[in-house]
Amino acid sequence: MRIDVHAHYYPNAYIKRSERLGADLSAVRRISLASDEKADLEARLKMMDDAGVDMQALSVSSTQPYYERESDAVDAAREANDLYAELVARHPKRFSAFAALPLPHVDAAMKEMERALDQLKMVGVTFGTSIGKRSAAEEAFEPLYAEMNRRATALFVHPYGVGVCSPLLTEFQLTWVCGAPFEDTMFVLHLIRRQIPQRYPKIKIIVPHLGGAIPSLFTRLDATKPMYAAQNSEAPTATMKRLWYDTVAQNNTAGLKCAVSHLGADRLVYGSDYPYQLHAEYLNSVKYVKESGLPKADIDNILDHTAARLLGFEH
Amino acid sequence: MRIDVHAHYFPAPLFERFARMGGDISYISPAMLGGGTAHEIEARLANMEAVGVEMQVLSVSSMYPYYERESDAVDAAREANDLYAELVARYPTRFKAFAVTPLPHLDAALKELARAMDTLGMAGVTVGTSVMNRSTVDEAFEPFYAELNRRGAVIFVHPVGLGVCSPLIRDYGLSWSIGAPFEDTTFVTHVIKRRILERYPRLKIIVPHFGGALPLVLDRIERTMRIFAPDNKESATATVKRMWYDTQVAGRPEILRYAHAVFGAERLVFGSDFPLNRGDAYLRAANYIREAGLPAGDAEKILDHNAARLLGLEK
Repeated sequence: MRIDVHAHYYPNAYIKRSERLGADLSAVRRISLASDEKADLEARLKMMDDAGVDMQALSVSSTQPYYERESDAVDAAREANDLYAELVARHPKRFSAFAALPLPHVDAAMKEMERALDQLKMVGVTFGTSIGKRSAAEEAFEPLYAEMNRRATALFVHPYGVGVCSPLLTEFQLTWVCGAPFEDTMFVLHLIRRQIPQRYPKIKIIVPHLGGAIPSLFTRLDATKPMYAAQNSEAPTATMKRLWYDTVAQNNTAGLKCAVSHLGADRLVYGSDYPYQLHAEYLNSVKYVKESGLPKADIDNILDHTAARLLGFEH
Repeated sequence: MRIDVHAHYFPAPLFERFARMGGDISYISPAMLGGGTAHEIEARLANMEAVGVEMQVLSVSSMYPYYERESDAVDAAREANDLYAELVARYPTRFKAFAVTPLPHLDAALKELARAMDTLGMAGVTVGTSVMNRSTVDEAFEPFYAELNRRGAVIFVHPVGLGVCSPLIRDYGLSWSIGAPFEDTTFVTHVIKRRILERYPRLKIIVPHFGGALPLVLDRIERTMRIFAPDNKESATATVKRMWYDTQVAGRPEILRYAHAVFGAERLVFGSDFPLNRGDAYLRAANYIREAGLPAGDAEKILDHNAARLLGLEK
């Protein structure tokens, strides 16, 4: 069963609300075919059909419902999750969804997680790589990890889109070009620092873009461990193998192979970054994995089995 | 001729001054034997012998003389360059050096550049991946690059260890694990955005660690050129292939193969980060290049020819 774990959905009402609340919607405004309008959904389904994609597991991308005022965050999260659940209910064989949470409000987030997973039957949770300017792995957010561990939830992480709060990126239009993959890598390091994958081993964490710079760094992270992680913690390269990584990498076959050689093909899951790759690019998101030269069994798992198993559609 | 383009020299006055001025020298230890005593120089030369390294081109690592007050910057730059020139003078067939300059003070930097290149006979300059939170290729520094271009100078770039000015990296102990490679990548993107190599094509820029996340991010830059760098006359890939990338990546052949696939063998030069890698690690830094299964002749090019040609030491 081919599941695209990295696909975004921008229902109009949620986007309008986000705009009212002052969210940065530049990443939403510059693309199309992602709304809840009939024509957009039809186009999406057709692209999925053409690419042999059975299901997209949808998430809010960087438009997380993270607001300072709790009621703003809660209302936005509820609306997002309700709208997503509605689409899933209409097309249960084609869509599933990761729940967005009203962070940084931990109690409210716990409540919404329960509602989204138990009542709305969502397939997992999505977080930003940071919660505003705070690390998503901060101690304050620990209860969320504990709960996700208890439930053995899938957690799809996505760049928050703040260019790791570096002016050398944000003032040079590099927020999405470099900032996004930097944020993926940074999130993984934040997790490693707090030993979250080890302490909450049942959470199935999915990191986008092959983990960003992880394939290029890998053993460097072991060599520099004393600077950021506890002496008695396991090697970061071991911790990294507890996570999964999606294949969104703009046809970067060399990157895909490098990721597989470090992490193992069983840690890779297919993703497209719909709608940021459309039409021919959407097809290519599958094609480049198929034509990567990896062993056939690995390709099959990456495209058609591992995600289905992670999300509970295959056993 | 085997030349190591990424090797550091830590004479005591250099790091003592850097520390006095508030710099972080925690990565330097006496065990590295990186200083200027007779014993340490002998140990360095013995290491070089063991690895077949004929010459190291020395640089200050992150200890750049970038200070607010011009006299602080000038004093630091002059002292560093004098110390390095002194070692080179004693072993002219084993060492060359990259000069530091007292940016952001433009006139002083031009003066010290001339002194270092003409009087002290240095092989090129080294610049940090940022200059006091500013882009290293800030508009204000144009005359500096114009002069370097006039000279056809070699520029060795090195991370400044400020976590690409991101609190989410710096404040979490991640400056040297992921921060430094991110700084390399960000520098390259600034060079592209500011069209530095289009306007100053004689510059020979060496970027460490294969440019950090550059192998992943290049495709992303390419796709966004219309918005990111609309005035550029060449593709991002074309600009990237005008620079060189050193091989210092914790001895992991998979990463070399990745970089080789993206950049090509011609763009790669041997670098080690000596003395942070010494003894067996220094041997590994060279040997891993031969173990990467590259096409015939490429490992030799990377180890023994590309840098020599770049520095004008091979006919």
